[in-house]
Amino acid sequence: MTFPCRLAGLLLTIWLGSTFASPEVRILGSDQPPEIAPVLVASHTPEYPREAIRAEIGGLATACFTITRKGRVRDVVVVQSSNELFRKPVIKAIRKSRYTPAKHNGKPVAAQLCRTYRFSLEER
Amino acid sequence: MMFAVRTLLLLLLPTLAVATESMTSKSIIGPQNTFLADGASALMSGDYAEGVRLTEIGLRFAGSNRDRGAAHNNLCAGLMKMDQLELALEHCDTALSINPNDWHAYSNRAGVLLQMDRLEEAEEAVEKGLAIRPNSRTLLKILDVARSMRYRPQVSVVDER
Repeated sequence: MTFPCRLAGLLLTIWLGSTFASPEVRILGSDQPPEIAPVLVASHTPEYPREAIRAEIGGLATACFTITRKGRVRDVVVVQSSNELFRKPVIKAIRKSRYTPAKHNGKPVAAQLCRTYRFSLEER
Repeated sequence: MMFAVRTLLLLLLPTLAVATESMTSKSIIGPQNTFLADGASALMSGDYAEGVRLTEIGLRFAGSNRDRGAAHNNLCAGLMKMDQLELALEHCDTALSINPNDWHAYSNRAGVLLQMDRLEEAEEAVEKGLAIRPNSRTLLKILDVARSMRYRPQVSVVDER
């Protein structure tokens, strides 16, 4: 591979990394991380949108959301998506997920975290 | 997987050509081609052998290009259901040579090609059909089947922070 190609690849990697970088888990309303992070106990995988399969589209989508003190998922916001088609399935899947609440100073606290999904079409 | 795809393909209704005047006006006095109309009805009701038989007779008396195109297209659909794929493909091609804008024929052609595992040609036929009729449910269903034969969609978590 030629140098310009390698450089372009490196720059793309850095750009993608920065574009989809997610913030650390933090207590809601502060920049502080909780002592004990929420743990995912029921995971749901987003459905691959049919329209995206038809159009042979893959990509990444990042959503940030709040885990309440009771472990419920709230305020899901897609902060970055390489295609609009991925927004809905990501929100739907995250809303169905269940977590144990974050803990700080021995007490459950609301926390905010982000999740990035990769949608890819693998040739059979 | 292939079995599932074939089952799905068999569930897809054949795309019969738009009924021609002679197909819809059996009771009207005048020159008619009731064989084509009856053939189309038989195909629609799932009696493919009878539908093909009647359509073949109707084709002999077809007076217009429109009727001939519709007949070939319906033969393609019926023969596809009867698993006579090579012959079905020939009829689809004839229908398209008569009317290159017949999206029904592209749809049936794609269905036949999928059953023959000729994936790329099937996708090409679907795309040509969609260029004529972009929102055709049948064409989109066939495209979905083609994509599911080609791809395994995967969603994974990249990171969670």
